[in-house]
Amino acid sequence: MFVLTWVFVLFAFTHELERLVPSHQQWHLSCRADGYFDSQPPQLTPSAVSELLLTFTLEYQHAALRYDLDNESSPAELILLQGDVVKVDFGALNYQLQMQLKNKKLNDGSMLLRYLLNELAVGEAQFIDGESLPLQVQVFNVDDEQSRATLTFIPSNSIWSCEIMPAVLPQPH
Amino acid sequence: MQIGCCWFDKERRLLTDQVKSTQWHLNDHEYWVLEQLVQHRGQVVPLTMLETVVLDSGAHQLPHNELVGIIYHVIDYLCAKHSNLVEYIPEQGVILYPASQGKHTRILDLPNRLLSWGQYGIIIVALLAVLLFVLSNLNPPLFSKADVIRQVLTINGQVVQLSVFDNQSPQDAILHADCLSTQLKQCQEVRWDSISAAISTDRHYVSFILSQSETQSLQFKNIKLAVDDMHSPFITQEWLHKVLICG
Repeated sequence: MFVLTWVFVLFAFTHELERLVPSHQQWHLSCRADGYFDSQPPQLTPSAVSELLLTFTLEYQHAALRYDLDNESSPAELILLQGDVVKVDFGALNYQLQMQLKNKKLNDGSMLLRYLLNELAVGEAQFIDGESLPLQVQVFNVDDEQSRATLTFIPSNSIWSCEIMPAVLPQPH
Repeated sequence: MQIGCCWFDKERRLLTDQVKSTQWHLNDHEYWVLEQLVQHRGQVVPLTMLETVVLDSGAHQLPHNELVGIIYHVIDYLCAKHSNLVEYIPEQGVILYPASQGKHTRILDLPNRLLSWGQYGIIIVALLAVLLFVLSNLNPPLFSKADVIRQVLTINGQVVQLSVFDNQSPQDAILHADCLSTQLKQCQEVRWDSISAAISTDRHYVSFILSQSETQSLQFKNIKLAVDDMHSPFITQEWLHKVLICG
């Protein structure tokens, strides 16, 4: 009886650990937003709406953020950041990252750049020069089906509701 | 003298179980065996020594079967509560341990009867409590705490949950929650059950998360709004219709 209870307790504990921990070392979040970035008083014209896409990927020690901005009045913009996970707090699902600009496609007077300098809380020169950028994100509100989560950027307080994508198998190079 | 929970009265040749209040009148042979064990307490008494019964009337041999029967009887009688007070080593001898031996048995010596059900229960409850504590700390937080939470009742009786996040200024959070709820109340129909707004630290952007529970699933929408002056009323009826918050 005693041994059986121990086995049960250990099983339950390891089962929960196994369920929780590995899933939080991998995130594939796909997020989409309507952007209203003409900071004019909201006399809105149809062209004022942009589509902003964010793909957040975290696989163990590696992290990537990809932003795509599309609107009718100007060419599409793109920012790709890649980097490493520096610290993880599983209790709060808080990730500290060191990211670097890997790819960019920006227009003059870029709306995406202006938005990102706010969201990532970094300086323009530091960002464009490809310096290492400290970044902190938190994942919360994960639903029971593990299909949606909320992503918060700290300290900018920018929030996204994202779809959790099934883990992508590594492709042979 | 005391042996376990029994009192051994040598004069009356009586073994009294004080817990069960039972008595055992020992015959000559039983008394001889127990007396030898008591005299050599803590030592192995050889069977050959026990088999040679020395009484006032003279010495005689005790049959082996009868001796083993007496030993088992003594073990049964003494050991109900003190499981290894007496140990019988077949073909060798018998040992009566000192009283303290029986009380401090090691947990893993025997699987049975060493822990009472109460102790056992306490250990299991404590383990479960630790387990739950650890798991509750591992679980991701279900909801982050909004700075302002409002329930807005619209004209047609719909309730909309409004949450405002502002890590800079609680006054601003209240101001914007007031502004949003005033505008939402004027909507004919609000397309969303829940609206969260987060004001950026540099005061130039507001992130909205809108959600609506459908029959099968939840619908979500993100809105990012650039704002020049956070203190001008940037949420208007026109805007709420434009971004499809109001229908």
